[in-house]
Amino acid sequence: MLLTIIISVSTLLLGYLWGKQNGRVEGYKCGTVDLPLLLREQSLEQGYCVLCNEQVQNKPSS
Amino acid sequence: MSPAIFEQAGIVIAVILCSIAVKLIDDFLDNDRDSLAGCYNFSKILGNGIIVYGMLSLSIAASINASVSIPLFLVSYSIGMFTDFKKTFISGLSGLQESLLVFSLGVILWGWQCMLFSLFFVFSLQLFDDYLDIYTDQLAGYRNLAHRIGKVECLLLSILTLCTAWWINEHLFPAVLLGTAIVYSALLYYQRGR
Repeated sequence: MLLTIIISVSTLLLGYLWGKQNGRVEGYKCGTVDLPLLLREQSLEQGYCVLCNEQVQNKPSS
Repeated sequence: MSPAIFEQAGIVIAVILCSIAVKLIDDFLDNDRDSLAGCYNFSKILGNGIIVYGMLSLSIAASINASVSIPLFLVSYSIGMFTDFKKTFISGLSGLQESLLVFSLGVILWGWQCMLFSLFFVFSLQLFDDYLDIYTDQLAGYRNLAHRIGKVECLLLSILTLCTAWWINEHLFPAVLLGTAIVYSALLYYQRGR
């Protein structure tokens, strides 16, 4: 009984550690891909381009 | 009272007194840090005499049941030293060396089973305490185990070490747990109320 609990908690702990580490690596990759796009989107919404640092002029769509 | 109940009651009382001794000595050593963090410390009430009451409490605990209280105290000392393992102490030894020396001495005097049981039990308690005090210790500028390894990891490791202690000595575990729970609850009630 006790040995079963010890093995279960050990497995839970190892699974948690593995999941946390995996999530950190995955999260970093997703962040690296998404961050430039998010920054560009936000900067364009505020009226300038973060890449060329120029003001963006709203042109009416034809 | 049957001898078995009397024996278990003796263990509970010895553990209570040993826990009080460890708490008083810990408060004596951590007085400055607790003052900075605004934590309650028994040195405020007992002054410099705190260390004498700690020794007295340990002596009575050892008189009641030496084979339980002394290994618990030695392991508490080892774990306490291990947290400052790089620091050099008055003996000229580092925390790690002192910790290993005291543990080895305990193994020679009290045997593997007693010391391993105490090691897992006290380490479990240390982890649980760090889990509860993560924010208080952060305020005092101290990175405790929960901060270093993570909150959930700390709690799971605490449960794991507690179960391991139980597995090592099933006969001793309930009484030791009861004694520790009484002191720990009383301290939480007393300190959180202030």
